[in-house]
Amino acid sequence: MIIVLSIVSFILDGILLRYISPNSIFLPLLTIISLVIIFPYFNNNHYRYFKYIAILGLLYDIVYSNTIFFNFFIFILIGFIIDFLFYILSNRLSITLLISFISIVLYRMILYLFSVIFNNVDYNHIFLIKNIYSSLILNLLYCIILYFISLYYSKKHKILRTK
Amino acid sequence: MYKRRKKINKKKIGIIIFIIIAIIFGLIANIFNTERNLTVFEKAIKDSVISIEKIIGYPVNFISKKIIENKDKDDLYEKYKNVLLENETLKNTKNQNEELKKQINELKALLNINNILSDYTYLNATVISRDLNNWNNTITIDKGESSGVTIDMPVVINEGLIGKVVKTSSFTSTVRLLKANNTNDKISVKIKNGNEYIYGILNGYDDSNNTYIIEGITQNVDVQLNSIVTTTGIGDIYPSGIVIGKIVGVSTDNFDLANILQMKSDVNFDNINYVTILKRNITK
Repeated sequence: MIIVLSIVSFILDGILLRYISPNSIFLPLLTIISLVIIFPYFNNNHYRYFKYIAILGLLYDIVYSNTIFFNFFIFILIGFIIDFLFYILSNRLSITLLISFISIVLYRMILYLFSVIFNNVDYNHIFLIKNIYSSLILNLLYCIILYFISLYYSKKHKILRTK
Repeated sequence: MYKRRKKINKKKIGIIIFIIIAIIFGLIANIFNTERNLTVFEKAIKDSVISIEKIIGYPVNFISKKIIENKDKDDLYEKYKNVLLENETLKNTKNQNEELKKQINELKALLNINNILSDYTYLNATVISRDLNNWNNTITIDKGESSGVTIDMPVVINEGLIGKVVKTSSFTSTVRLLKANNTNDKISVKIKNGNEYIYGILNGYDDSNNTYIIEGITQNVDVQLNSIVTTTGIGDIYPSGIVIGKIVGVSTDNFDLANILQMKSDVNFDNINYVTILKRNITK
């Protein structure tokens, strides 16, 4: 279940990028969403969760961004935040959406900050804001779909998930 | 004595922290370096994941192709008439081209020249992925080292030059687009100003106006608007005569000594699906 969700999101990220223009308001970050959705299925096995998202981050680095070990660390950082937020909040759709929102905003901001410092990109806050809201619509919609699919599947197959 | 040791320790810790920060910054700078070559491990993973993606994405690709085909069918007769007209002029151009090629070859043999600046062969490719973080401005294409693609090969589409290859794996290549504003991507260009050419350097992209900046032109030259800008062929990367864009504005630098030209490209960088890689013919 965990592997299927994350691999499908990972591959969908790549497929959608072929058809979606970089200036569109539907920029995909589906792999980040899958990090939020799969968390409850690790049943507080933090070591396994972080090992898993580190591998996913490394794959993301190699296949999509050509920046080895960068997404690896960002995914772990986002993992910590997801872990913390799920620890203080309950696992409901609204909370999952909120955590996805925070993860996307954080991911975009960190990446932009590092691009400005190290990649010769001029700082432009309008561009950053546009980039953040363009990443929200499609990904939050995907989050809702994935949430219900995972809930249905876990109920049907009686898979344990943290409440 | 104890206080002194404590002071030294604090100094040492400060130096160690400074070194660690410097190393981290160095590593991150290296991570973001788009000129970095991919390792064998990275190449293997990238190739295999993109192959899987291609297979899974085949139905989506098929459906989107069918939709485009159906849209195109709407004004098929109009297009057919236009193609017939274009075909007539194309026949003449083709004959002229063949004649010119023949003459060039004869002159090359006569003058004992191996290479000319406009010699290149074509390799067509499809865009299979775009950069997830659109400020990097790179695209991934489905031709790699196995098709003879190497780093620094120029990439064009019908409307003109779009960039160059910066990374290659066995079956894919990463192309950095011209608008990426990379300091290493200065291109020698020539502007057709009436009957003569003016030479300059394409030096970056202005995000606020969506124009390219051309520098290195003296102020006493009167540059006409809408002049065509092409590559000069000087340097190892870009062959001569590839269209880049049109001049849309002329201004002067801070000291009023040189002209700065604004150039607009006809390329829609948000909608690039098929590209052509130019392989420059250089025989030594």
